[in-house]
Amino acid sequence: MNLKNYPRPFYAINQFCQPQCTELAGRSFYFDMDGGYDYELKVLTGDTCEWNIAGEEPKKAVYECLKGDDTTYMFDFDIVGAEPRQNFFFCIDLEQSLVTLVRCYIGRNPKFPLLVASEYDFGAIRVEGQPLPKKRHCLTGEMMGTTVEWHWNITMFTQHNYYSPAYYRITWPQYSSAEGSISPNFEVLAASDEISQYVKIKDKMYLYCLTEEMMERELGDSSPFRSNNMIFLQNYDRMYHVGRTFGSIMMDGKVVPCRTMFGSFGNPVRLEYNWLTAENPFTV
Amino acid sequence: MNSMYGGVYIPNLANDAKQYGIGEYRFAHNYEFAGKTFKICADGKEYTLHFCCEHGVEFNGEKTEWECEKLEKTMYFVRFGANCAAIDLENGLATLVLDGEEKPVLGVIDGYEPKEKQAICTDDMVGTFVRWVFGVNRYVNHDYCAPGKIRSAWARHTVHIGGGRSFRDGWQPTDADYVEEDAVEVKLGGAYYLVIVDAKMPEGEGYVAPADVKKLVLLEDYDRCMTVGCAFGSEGGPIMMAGYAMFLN
Repeated sequence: MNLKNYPRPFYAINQFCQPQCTELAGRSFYFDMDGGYDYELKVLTGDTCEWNIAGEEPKKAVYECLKGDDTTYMFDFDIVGAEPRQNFFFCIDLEQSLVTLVRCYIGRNPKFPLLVASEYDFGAIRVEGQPLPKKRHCLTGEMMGTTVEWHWNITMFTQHNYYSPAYYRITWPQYSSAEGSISPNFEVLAASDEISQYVKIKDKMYLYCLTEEMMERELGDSSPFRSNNMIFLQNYDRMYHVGRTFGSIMMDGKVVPCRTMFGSFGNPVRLEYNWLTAENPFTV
Repeated sequence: MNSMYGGVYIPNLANDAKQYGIGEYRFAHNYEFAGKTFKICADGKEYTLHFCCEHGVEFNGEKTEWECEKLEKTMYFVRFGANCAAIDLENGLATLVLDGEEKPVLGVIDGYEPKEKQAICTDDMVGTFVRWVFGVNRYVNHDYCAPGKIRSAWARHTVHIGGGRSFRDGWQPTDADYVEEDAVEVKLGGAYYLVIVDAKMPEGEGYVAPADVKKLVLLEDYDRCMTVGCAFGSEGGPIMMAGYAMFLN
């Protein structure tokens, strides 16, 4: 049998997602956060945890965890019962005893209620017998100038240009299946530039965060994608990333939650000079 | 890969990670087995794998080191010393590939009663022609041409020659680059196969895999189209790998 024809389900950006990691089960963490509210996290099982702001009652959640390298984890869960929806994304760095928390909220913008708003908080992990580190993960401009091709599934790859501390832009060649699957949404936009944030975790490891904000502002319900926040834990030592989406999508005319775990394999790519240097029409 | 713009070098984090060779895309090590013990039964024999900590393991009482890559929710590839195993915790199957043994050990983990056992493939994979990409421009083409036979071609290194161009840009293997190798293919159930290749590395310079690799063991998932595995026999030691599939026919 030609296993190309194995009866697999439809995959989009989730085919090359690495599997859920359950090795934190049984561990507890105290996150000393610069934002003023410390967090406690108790990982109960391979997919459940309890979390709370220090001093408050623990709340249960179902989590997802992927590894960016041997000691760096993305640990992600939706807040149970939150309406509109909320999501907490922790980047737990056991090598440096550091943590980054990205809190994502839907419903904060009265004009664009599906827009995902993000808050970033940096902190350190308390480890018995060791002083709290003074260093932090931090917002960075170090990724500026990076062009990279990401392979998401057996037919789809996209090319990213991280050129500004506030934006990125995306393209793909015609022989990528992105041409048929996602290009119609971009063709009606003035450009593919989209709102981004960049966080340095360590040498060659970054959190790259984007929100489909321009798409939501410009297209609204004429696009199936409704302001997803995507966080990539990018490993430029090994050239792959893991990540997740949090947002909404249109399905049969209705807005439904969109939560996808994803991953992809990368390689350097040479892109057209004119595209790389084209003006971003969404900025002054 | 830095580029020059107006006489200024612009840094670019994307790189070819050549220090890792065919091990570039190796997933993060998985430590879920640390502290666990598996008793594995096959053909009246018993094998014990006791994962003492995150790095040390005892196999039938002998101490060695181990590393593990997780391929799916309950599917793992473990290398311990010069041996390796595919461990399927959903069905309780452990398939051992032991150094010096000709055939894999098709075992069951003590405490499980699998509905279906793993089995040596006959022509299950024949007709499959896949490229496994293990890193930037580092891949092997596997043509499952007959039961127990694979035609293999490794990629050759690209060499940057300046001006943004590389020697061998767009290079593709020709018939002359293929070698026929003996292989044992084990069907593990569902989309999973364990492929053990008696590696015959191509002669000549410039191939991306070390010339002294003797055995390639790949745990392949044809649903998600990813693989994890190990190349054994090279002087530099075993090379743990991971990669993704591109179908060539």
